[in-house]
Amino acid sequence: MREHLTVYLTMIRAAVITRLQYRADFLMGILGVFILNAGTLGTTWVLLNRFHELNGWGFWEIVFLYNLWLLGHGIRAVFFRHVTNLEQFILDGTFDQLLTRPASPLVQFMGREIHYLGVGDVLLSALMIGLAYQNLALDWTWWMFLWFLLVALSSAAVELSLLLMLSCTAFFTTRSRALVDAATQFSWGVVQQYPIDMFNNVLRFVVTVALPFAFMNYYPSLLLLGKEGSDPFGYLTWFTPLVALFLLWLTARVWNFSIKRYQSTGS
Amino acid sequence: MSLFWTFSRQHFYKQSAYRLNFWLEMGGMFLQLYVVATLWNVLFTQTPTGFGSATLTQMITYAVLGILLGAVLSVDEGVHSYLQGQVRMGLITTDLMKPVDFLLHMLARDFGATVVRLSFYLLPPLVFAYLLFDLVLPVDAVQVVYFLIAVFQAWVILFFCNFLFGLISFKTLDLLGFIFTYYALIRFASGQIIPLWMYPDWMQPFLYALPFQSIFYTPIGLFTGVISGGQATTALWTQTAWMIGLFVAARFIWARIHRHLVVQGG
Repeated sequence: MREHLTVYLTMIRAAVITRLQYRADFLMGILGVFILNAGTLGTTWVLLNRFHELNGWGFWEIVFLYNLWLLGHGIRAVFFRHVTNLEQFILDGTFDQLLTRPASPLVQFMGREIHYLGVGDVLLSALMIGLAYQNLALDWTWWMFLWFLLVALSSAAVELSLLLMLSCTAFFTTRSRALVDAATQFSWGVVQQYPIDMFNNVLRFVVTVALPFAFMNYYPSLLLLGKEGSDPFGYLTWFTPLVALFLLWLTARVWNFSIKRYQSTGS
Repeated sequence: MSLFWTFSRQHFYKQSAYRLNFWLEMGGMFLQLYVVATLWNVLFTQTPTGFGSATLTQMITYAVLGILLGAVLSVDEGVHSYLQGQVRMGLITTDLMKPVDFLLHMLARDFGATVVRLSFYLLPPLVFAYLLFDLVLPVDAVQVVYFLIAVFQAWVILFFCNFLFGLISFKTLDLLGFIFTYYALIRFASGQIIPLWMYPDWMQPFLYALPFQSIFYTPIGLFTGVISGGQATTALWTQTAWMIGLFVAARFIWARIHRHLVVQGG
């Protein structure tokens, strides 16, 4: 474990140094993230300004929901944005380099890059969650703040696990992008923007069990917003960290299973 | 004209090469359709008066067309992404050397891609959506003709907007950062997702003054009957005015950039 950590930190250090070469890009990218999300939140604001609530969720509650997703996504994107590029690593043979080195390929792959766009996501979501906290007049006890931190990390872990597992199909087919893109529609297209209690049971099942993206924001929000009584499955809110741990464990299994059957593309 | 169809044929072959991608994209589109239809259903049950004079079926039709037209009149991929790629790779010289007017050449390329997307992403899903959801259809031939004219003009307007936006890459070599702003602006101001009359009153004059409402709100509004009578002809003429205005702007700005263009050996 200690050895894995050393390898990981060394790689991250190299990645940070590489990124620091492009500072103007960094600022432009962060600004872009702010504007892009302002556009989406603006649309929600227009709707809620007219209809006041969406299936029992007010504007600031939806802001909280949206930004809890963005926080988890941002944390994931800073460190693990490249996991969905596994297919590219395999196609151009970069992945085979990792296999020849005397360290775990998983650790090497994970530490390969860091990305600055995620920093914008984290900053923006922290700001917006703070605003939502004020506007909703929430009053968390001290352990709720600790729980919130745990939830944010779990949210990142849920996204990371699901994306990496889906990307592992590239070990068999060398193509995973289209599949990942289709699956993530359930994430940014459904779970991020809407409280899932407004949808039918099929879609709820998909985002709770099949592709449990709802554990990134919907279920944890129920407790943090004091809404766990409003959903018959509200008790799932307590399971967020457990779901995250389980998914991480499952991902490690899937990775090991896939890499054993991997045949290089030879390029 | 044959220039235009040559590009269509090329894009058709390209599009049919990736079948799995096509079906996954189609699935994604129907997921979006379901999500937005549910959204309007929930809001209607909650506040039936919130739609103003529009009915629930009109709103669902609006949502369906918004998503399908969004896939045809693409903001992600278009002349701007093409220009950026060519400029960055230094390949733009090959486009400039061709014995065709540059703007016309770009228009023909975009036409090809759009016609192919139209036949893949608008017509079949629209038929399928009609079977799944309760939709309103145009009541007479005039409305159909208006809709078709509006879609055509919307395409031209989007093309010029994309073109003007893509010209930024001649100055900065990159569009990242700017592209987010552009997406956000079109998403918010075009009425693709939320019809313009639902925006707060103070905001509406600004939205009507921008060209983006002509891209989505006008064709969708005409199809669903939200825009009708005298408003319909005004909306179409507004589009025409934008088409001409943006064409002149594109010509003028392109001529200036072309004159000062320096291409490094690619």
